[in-house]
Amino acid sequence: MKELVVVSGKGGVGKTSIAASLAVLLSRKLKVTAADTDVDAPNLAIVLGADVRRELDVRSSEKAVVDVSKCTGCGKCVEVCKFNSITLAEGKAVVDRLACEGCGACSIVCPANAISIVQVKTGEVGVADTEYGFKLVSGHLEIGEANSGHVVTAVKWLARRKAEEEGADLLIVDGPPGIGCPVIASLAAASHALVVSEPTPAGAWNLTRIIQVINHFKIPFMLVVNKWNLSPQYTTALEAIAKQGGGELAARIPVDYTIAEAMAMRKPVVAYKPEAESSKAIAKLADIILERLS
Amino acid sequence: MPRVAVTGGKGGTGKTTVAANTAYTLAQMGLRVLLIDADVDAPSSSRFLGVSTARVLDVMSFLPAVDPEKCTMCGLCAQACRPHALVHVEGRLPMLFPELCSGCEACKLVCPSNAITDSQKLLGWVNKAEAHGITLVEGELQPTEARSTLVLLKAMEYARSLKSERSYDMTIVDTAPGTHCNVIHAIRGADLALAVTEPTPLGVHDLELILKLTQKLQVRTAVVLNRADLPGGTPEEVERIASRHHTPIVAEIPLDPLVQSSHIQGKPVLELAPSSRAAEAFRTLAKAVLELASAGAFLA
Repeated sequence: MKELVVVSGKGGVGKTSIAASLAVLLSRKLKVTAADTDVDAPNLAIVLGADVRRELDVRSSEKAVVDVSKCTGCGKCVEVCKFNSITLAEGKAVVDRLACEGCGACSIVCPANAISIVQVKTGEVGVADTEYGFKLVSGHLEIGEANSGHVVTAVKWLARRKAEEEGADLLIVDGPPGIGCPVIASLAAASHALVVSEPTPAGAWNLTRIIQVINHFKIPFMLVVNKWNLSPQYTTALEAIAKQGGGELAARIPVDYTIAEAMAMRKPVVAYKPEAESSKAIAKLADIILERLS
Repeated sequence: MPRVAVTGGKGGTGKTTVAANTAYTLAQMGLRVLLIDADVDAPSSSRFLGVSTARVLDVMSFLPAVDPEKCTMCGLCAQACRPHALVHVEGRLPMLFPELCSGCEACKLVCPSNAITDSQKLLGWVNKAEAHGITLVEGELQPTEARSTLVLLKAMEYARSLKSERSYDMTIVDTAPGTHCNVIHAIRGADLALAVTEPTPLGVHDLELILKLTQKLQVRTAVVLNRADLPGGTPEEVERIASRHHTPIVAEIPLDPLVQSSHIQGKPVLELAPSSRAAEAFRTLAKAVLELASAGAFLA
C-alpha cells in the first residue's frame, strides 16, 4: 500500500480542499482510505460531509499532580521545570496543567515526594464512512493538550489498519500545517508527499522549510501551487525552489471561488462542480499522482 | 501595557495579515508597538511587513551526553526519561535517540554518578527587526526539529527582556494555528485575544475550538471576520457561533484583491493601498483593539 501525505508548511493554503478532491477522484481508480492528521483543527470530515464515530481514546499525555498535604513549598520543582509550568501560591506548588509536559523532573527533585505523574486523555480517534465509498480516519487533540504527535501516530495506526481491512491500495493523509512534531509524525513512513504552496513571499519561505523536513526523511515529493495566477512570478519561484529540492512540479490550481461554494455545501469541489477550473486542474493532478504511484 | 494575541484555530485565516496590519496601524498612530511572531513553525510576519530580520539569539536545548568513565549502567536515566529518548540495555551505555529528547534534564537529575552532561542541541533561533516604528521579534524553529515549544518560550522571554529596556504601548502576539500548547503559551495572560476566522464551515468549526480555548484561559476575546464577503461564504454561521460564545465580531475585512497584492509585494495593506476598503477595515479594527485591550488591561 502506498501512502501519500499532503503537507504545506504554511497553513490555509488549501491542503484539505485538495486532499478531499484527490481522495474522491483517486477512489474511482484505486481502493482508497483517507486520514486527517491535522488533529488541532480536523476539517477533512467537514469537506467530505462525513460524521466521525469515536473508536478510541489516546491517553499518552502525562501531567504532574501535587499532593498539597505533603508539599513544603520549597520551590525546587519550580527551579527545574523547563516549561515554566509550576509556580508557588500560598506556600504550595501549583501546576499549570496546560503548560505541563509531564516530563517528571519536578517529581524527581521533590524532597517531600509530593509530586506524582498521572496519565490524562490526549485526544480521540474515530472513523467515518463517506458517501464516496471510502473510509476516513480522523482524530482530534483535546483542547489545550500537548503531544499532538501521539494523536497523529494513533490516527495513522488506525488508518493503516482500516486500509488493510479494506484492502486499500492508497492511504491519503491530510496533514497539519507547520514543520514541527505533528508534521514529522504525519510524514513517518510515507511513500510520497504532496506539498501545497501559494505564490507569495511567505509561501516561498515556508516551502523551503517544509522541503528540508521532507528531504531529511528522504520522501519523494510533488509540488502543487494553489491560486497560482495570483502571481505567476512567485509561482515560477516556488517551482524553482521545489526543483532545487529534488521535487516534481505536479500542478497549478487557479484562484476559483467555486472551492469556497463547494465547501459551504460540504462537498469536495470535484464532486460539486467537476467542470470548474479548479476541478479540472485537480483532475490533472490526480492523473499525475496515479502515474507516480504505479 | 496591554498585550493582544492574534489567533484563530484554522491555518491561513489571516492571523498574520491582521497582526501585521494592526501593528502597522497602531505604530502609525504614534504608539510604540512590539510584535511577536509566535508561529515558530512558519514565522511569516517579516515577509508580510517586508522587513529583514537579524538573528539575535540561538535557542539551545539540553541534550544528554553520557560520560563512559562515570556511567555505572544502572539504567535509572532511561527509567526517568518519559519520552524514551534514553534506552537502557543491560551491560551497555544508555542508547540515545536525540529526536525524542524534550530537554527536561530528568536523566541528569536522577543519575547517581554524575555521568550525564549537557551536549546542547540547536533547536532554533530568535530574530529581531526594527521597522515602520515596530519592534518585531520572531522565533524560528530549525527544520527537522520537532520541539517548537522551547523556541517559542525563548522568543517570548527575549521579548520580555526588550520590554524591560524600553517601554512599549502595545504588544501584539501572532500565534500559530491550532489549539496546542504553543498557542496556549502565546495567548495566556493576554488582555485581549482576536480570533481571526473566515466564513466557511472550516473557519466556523475551528473558531468554536479557539473560543473554547480562550474561555478556558479566561482571556477576553473578539472575533475578526476575514474575507467577510467571500463568494459562497457563510458569515451567518460565524455570527451564530460568536453569539453563542458571547463574543463580539469587532471587524469585517473584505475580500480585497489589494490584500492579496500586499502579500505578494510583502507590504502592509495600509502602506500599499491606504485608501482601500481593506485598509479602512484595518483602521477600524486597530481602534477597537486599542479600546478593548486597554479596557482588558484596566480590568485586570
